[in-house]
Amino acid sequence: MNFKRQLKEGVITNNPILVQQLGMCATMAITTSLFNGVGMGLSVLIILTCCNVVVSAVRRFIPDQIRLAIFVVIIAGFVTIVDLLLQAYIPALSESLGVFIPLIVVNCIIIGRAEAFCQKNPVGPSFVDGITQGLGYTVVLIVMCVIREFLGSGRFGGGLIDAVKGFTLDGTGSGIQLFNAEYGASILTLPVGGFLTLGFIFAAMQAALKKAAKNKAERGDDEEEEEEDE
Amino acid sequence: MSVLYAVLVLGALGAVFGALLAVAAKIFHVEVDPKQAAVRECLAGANCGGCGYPGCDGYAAAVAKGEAPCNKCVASGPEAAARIAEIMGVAAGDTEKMVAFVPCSGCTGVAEPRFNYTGPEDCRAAMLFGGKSSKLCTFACIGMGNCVKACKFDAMHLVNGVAQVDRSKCVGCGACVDTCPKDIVKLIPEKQKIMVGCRNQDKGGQVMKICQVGCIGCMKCQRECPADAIHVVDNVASIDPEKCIQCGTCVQVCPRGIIHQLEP
Repeated sequence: MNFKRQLKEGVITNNPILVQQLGMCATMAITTSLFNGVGMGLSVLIILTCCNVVVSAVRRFIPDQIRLAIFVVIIAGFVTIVDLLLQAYIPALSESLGVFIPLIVVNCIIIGRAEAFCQKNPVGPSFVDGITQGLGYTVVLIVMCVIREFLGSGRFGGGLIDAVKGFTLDGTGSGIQLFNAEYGASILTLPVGGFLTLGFIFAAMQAALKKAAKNKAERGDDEEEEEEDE
Repeated sequence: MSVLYAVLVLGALGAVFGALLAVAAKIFHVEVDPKQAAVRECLAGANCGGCGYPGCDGYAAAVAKGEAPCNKCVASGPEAAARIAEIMGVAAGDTEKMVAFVPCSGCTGVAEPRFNYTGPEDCRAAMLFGGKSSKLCTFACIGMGNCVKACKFDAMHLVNGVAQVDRSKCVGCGACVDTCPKDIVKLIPEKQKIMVGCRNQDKGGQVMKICQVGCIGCMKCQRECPADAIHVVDNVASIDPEKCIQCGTCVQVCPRGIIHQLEP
């Protein structure tokens, strides 16, 4: 296990949303502006990394029968801390994400990684796994935000660009207006737009993965072995 | 032994995270306006939404910020408004207590049915079939009880297929007004004790055919009223609460018995 491979797994071949298909509820609900998307992505990344490290550190002491209860205690602890942190320092984000921050407690990505990865791996790889999987999640959120914002209201980077420009984190501002919002397909800013966008991204991702697998098979087994050596 | 071990592990983890959260809550503490909690204490707590804010907490927050007037909560009444005003240090202003009223008396056997409706118990569902009502009178209360379901104070009841308001329980939050798909229910001042229990705007002859009690616009009440408070507009009598002196003359003269003396 090295960083490069784990990064590739987290972002592409084993992406938490596009391949594992976990945690889609929040994904569709909050990807309405880039500010929300990046905020949610980073929150999940932080929580996931912390939980992964702790779960991995205590994995030898966890009795198998109550492992889920223990995971939930750990996750809920970190989620509450991040929730408090957001309320204290980025109240605008806390308000616009609303219930979806506390709901990270039951986000399948985190409990899924604890179950599938951290239980079996030492602290180092678990830490890296938290960051790479979190990045994979964030990247998908950003892609969805950009698509939905652009097609839905002709904007780019709502809230975030203004936040970077003015060094304020109030999440207001409409980013860069690329075309008149009246011409936008406003259906994409509604929840149904979340479903549609995610569906198309799924399809594109599956097609790309299939193609990659086919290419790999054509190139023969030698290369595959080489890749494994890396 | 393994049970004890499990309890120990979970307990230890719980203690560690409890301590962590206690520290985090101290570090990331956000000041909440103490006025907000004090105002919230005065409110009824039914989250009826009658004030126009998202629940009692939302209204309390708006009052504490000075964005909302103190007398918006109809459910908890003028005493609560006075207490809130005291907390905020401003004059309360008067809240006129309003109650809901259903201007329809076309109960089963009185208003002619259009067809036998056996679908879901829901006014919206019943409205989907021809004529927007299961009664021949298109203005009538459908009586499937959407307002009864919306009422959080048990003040709405179906009596013989028409919604009726229990004025002793109604707080005037307006939930029924918002939910009624036919816009029948309305809010009236509580001191107004006399109301016309019909809203049919058809001509008298037509009303005679479809309902035994509907207002036929005969103008008797308008002629007899000593205070010029009742007028027939669009073929149906309506009372102006500003002018009405609650004398009850119209109740006596109405040939259809459609003008009601409301209790209490």
